[in-house]
Amino acid sequence: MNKQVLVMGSTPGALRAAENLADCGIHVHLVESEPFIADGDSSDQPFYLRNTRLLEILKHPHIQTWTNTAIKEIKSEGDHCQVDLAQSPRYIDLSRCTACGKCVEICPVTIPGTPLKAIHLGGQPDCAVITKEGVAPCSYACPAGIHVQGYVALIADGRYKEAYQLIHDALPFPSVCGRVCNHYCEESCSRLKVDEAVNIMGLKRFVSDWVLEEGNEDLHPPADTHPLQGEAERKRVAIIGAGPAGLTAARDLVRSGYSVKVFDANAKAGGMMRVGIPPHRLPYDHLDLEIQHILEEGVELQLNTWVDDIPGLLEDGFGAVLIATGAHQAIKVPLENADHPDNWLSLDFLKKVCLGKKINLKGRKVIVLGGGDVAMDAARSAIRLGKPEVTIICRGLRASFNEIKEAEEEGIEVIRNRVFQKVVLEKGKIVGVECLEAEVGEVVDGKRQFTELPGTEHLIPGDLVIWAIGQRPDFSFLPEGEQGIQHSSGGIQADSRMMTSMEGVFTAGDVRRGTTFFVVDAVGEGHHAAQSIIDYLEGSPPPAGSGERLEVNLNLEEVQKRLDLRRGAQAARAPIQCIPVPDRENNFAEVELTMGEKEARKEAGRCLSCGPCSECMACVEVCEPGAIIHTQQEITTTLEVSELIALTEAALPSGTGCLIPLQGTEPMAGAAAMFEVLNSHPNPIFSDLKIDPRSEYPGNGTGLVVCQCGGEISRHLDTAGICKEASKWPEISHTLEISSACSPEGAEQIMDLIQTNRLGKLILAACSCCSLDQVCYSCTYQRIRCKGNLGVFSDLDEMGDIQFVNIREGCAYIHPRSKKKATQAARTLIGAALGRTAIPGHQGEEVLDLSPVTLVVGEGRSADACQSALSGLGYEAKRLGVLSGQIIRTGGKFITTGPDGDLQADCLVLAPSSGAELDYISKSILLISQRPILERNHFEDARRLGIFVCPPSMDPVISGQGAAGEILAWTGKMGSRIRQPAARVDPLLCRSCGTCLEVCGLGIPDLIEDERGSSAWINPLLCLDCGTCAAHCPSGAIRPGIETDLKLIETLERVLS
Amino acid sequence: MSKVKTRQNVILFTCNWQAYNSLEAAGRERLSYSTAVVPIRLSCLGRISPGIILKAFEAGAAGVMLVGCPEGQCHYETGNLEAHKVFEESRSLLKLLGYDEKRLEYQLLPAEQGEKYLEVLNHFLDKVENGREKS
Repeated sequence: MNKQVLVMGSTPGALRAAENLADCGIHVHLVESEPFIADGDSSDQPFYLRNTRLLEILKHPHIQTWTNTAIKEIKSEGDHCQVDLAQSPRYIDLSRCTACGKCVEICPVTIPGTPLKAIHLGGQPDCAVITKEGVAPCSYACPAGIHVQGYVALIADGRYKEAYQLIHDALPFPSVCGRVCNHYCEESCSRLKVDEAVNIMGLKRFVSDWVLEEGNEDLHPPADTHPLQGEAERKRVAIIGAGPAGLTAARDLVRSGYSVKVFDANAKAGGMMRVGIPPHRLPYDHLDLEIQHILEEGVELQLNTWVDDIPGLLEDGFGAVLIATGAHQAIKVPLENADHPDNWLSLDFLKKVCLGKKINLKGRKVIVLGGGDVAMDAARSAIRLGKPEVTIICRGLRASFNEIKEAEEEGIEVIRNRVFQKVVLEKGKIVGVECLEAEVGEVVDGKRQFTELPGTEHLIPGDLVIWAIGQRPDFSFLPEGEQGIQHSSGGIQADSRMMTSMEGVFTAGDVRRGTTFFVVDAVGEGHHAAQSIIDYLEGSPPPAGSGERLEVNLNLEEVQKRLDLRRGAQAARAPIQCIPVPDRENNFAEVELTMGEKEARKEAGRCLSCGPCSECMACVEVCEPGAIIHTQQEITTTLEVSELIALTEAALPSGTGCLIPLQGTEPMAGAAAMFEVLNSHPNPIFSDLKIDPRSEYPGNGTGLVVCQCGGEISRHLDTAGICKEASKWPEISHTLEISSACSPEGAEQIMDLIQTNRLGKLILAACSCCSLDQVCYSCTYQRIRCKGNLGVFSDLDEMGDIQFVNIREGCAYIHPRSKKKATQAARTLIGAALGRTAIPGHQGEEVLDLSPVTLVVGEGRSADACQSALSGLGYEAKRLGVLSGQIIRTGGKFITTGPDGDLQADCLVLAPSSGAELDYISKSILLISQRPILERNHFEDARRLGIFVCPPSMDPVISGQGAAGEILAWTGKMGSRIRQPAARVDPLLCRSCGTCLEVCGLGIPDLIEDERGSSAWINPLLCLDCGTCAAHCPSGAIRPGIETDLKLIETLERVLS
Repeated sequence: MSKVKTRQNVILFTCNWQAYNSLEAAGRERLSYSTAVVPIRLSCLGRISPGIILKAFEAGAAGVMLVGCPEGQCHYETGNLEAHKVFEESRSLLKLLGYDEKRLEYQLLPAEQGEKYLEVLNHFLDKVENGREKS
């Protein structure tokens, strides 16, 4: 049978239903919408007990836990249901995270309104989770792919170098884009819904100045750079144009292992950044430094080189060519007298300015035609060259607000709404530009419309005209003709991969788009082109539409809420400060000032953490096991289940034909639901119990595996030294040092070591501490994961005898400041483990009968329900209404006297009608030592002995059926204990003295008669192998399953010798 | 830190449940104890017998400390109490054999109490060391 049941939620009832069904061998899907399962138990149970119970569920071989998972749809189909599940990404690999907490420490983002970091721990499974509803709008908007919210968060946290590094990973020119960006990020900032955007560009400027001026620029490629091996190193790529697009692509390509050569016609690298933007806006020292960093990564640069033979490059062995030459030709319109030599082209003029050529415009009247940023640059450069009169004439102004403001401050006159008619000459000299006034119209297709007003002709005086009405690329170097590279006024034609009409030749940036865009746009195109070139050279298909990123869109209410919740977020936007106007005269000193540190942190603190995860990637940097996956996607799956157990209140989609409602949150309600599942089951229960005896180990050697715990152990303890030393010990045949025993790779390495070397025994020095199929109070998610990976909990015995040694909490953490002491302690513990492995382990057990007889005691109505439920399933159930004497627990049975004589049972159900009756019955269940077994009312603990309580406060039918369910689960659990270690009596040595019956706190040993006479017998299904009976047996007839005298003595001798 | 300067080891028999949990808590809290201490984890302190304790002394242990769960909280109900009987019995045997009975100690400690655990442990180590100095 392959029955599957889905249990929704993690109330105590749901968890009990899941656990009980699983104990009966039914595969359970435990679905929890939150990232952690919580038992919701608000009782005063200590943490270690609650944690232990949750781990029992997580480790159960028949329970599959789905956290962060919602039920999308349920379809009834005959006797089963199809359930569609959607598991939201956790962004953490549950098979790798060690819950070390470094990521939480490093995370700069606190989720607004909570004390939690964006990455946090918080329960079981004890692995981190990242709260990320999507990509913040600022990050989403950035064409260069910068994790914008991330660097803002890092700045708010005072971590400037990391912030710069994060920007730099996506954008090689943070100093440039901190000054001249059109900041799409700010335009999409959620704060615009309530006030002004965070001054993101200003923050980028601050951080790039901080890093580049403080001499903190020991930068490194990002951790996830994985150069392609072998082939790639020999593949060469030529890039024409050392501007933002070309250099970005070059850096991406060398980071992927290609050999890259960049050609540029100018004397300086940087393209438009270096020869188009004048120094009063962009000083070049930082830019030059950032270009230097690119070259240091291995990009070869050849300046002063005009490339006009692209096919020749391909013939010369370049596998691909990227054309990224920009748009460096300023255009003129063919007006009358526009060819007079005093008509200058803006970009030619700016190039001279940028390269420091001497120009003196003193006494001249300069007219700049155009209203964009290039016009502003030209006008503001002109006024710095001898303070001429400067007038800007344009139809509409497209330049940024700050540019216009600063230009006007500097004395530049800006005349808008004009259409140029002609350049007017007098005596061979320009005297001005004749214009018409224009009426401002609507915006059509993104362009504002203007209507010329006839009869408004007028002359704007001037003797030098600088044309800044637009730019276009120079295509003269491209191969012409049908075999050539096709282009139009819209730029070089390219497909979606950015490949031109010539095979292997790609294009990116302004030359592809036909005119000037911003640096971030070019950088974005550079990344795209580099990826396409890699795909082309490696023959990989273009990536499918996977990896779609979801943008977060906060509504006004949410924005307001975060604003209210976050301390310091209410501050107003920090404005950009400029140097005083007189200081700007006749020099190219940078006009805009950078923010102060305090101001920057305050400004960054205005961010509302839209993500809330900012994708600053700091967690990725510190995560040694590599458990963080920021690109994880939602997983959808369809399960076929026969039943679905959920609280009726749980919001479930309609059509839930197989729903079994949980009648409460109490564990007994879960047991009742579980009973209902089994009751409707046509087949016999427990038909698939595996009772194979434990197989022998394949070989004889003993291996020692030492786990570094991703550095957590090896930082404090010489793991390599221990391996080296132990390899000389006679008992150890093989040693292996591994990074993480609880990762899938770790398990693989360990299994490989065992199988390759045919090991018989293994000592694993990690953080796990026992090899038992149990969860004790110290257990962790990582320990059960490790043991689970190694097959400790599986039905099959793939593994041999493993001794686990905890060298983390037991050694590394005990001596964190002394590697010598920690190593010494580890050596001792490993020695002790060797002592334990020296003696063979426990033997296989005989198969026992598994049909428990139940005694239902009490006058509650639940007794009837329980008895009929059990009888209905063919289980024997006796009744005792009024308990007149005691119930003695001995020999693994409950024995009492009823009206019709002695009663004996394996399980006990207490079905009282009142609390007083429950109290009375509880006090009457005694060990033969007369010690009450339920003295402390630990009903939870009593379940393992087969004692179940129907709380008188509950609906009697639910609690009665619940108790029946509990007995079924107990039977299943006992059945699976067949391979568990237990104490065994040697009948030949036993003197039947009965000491073991007296000392066993669980009343398990019995005295039996057989043909050899009387001897003690310990039911191996019930025995928990505490060893107390063995300690007290006067004749040495009892041998514990695990901790035999011989093992203990061997261990003592080893550690004390 | 304890003053034990000897290379002679002190055996710490600790049960798997609350007692061991506290010892681990000490590690999680980065609390140090002497490398002379060798914890030997048992399912239950009830497993311990006079023979095992005497064996430890015979093999050269400087001291033996037995740590189990608090009274009434033994995972196996009575293992910690049975161990107390063994402790008493072993102490008289040690005395009979001429060992300083202070070298054997019995403690019941709750879970999650690393600091408390080390207080008790270090106190015992001091006692062991003082006893050695006297003899």
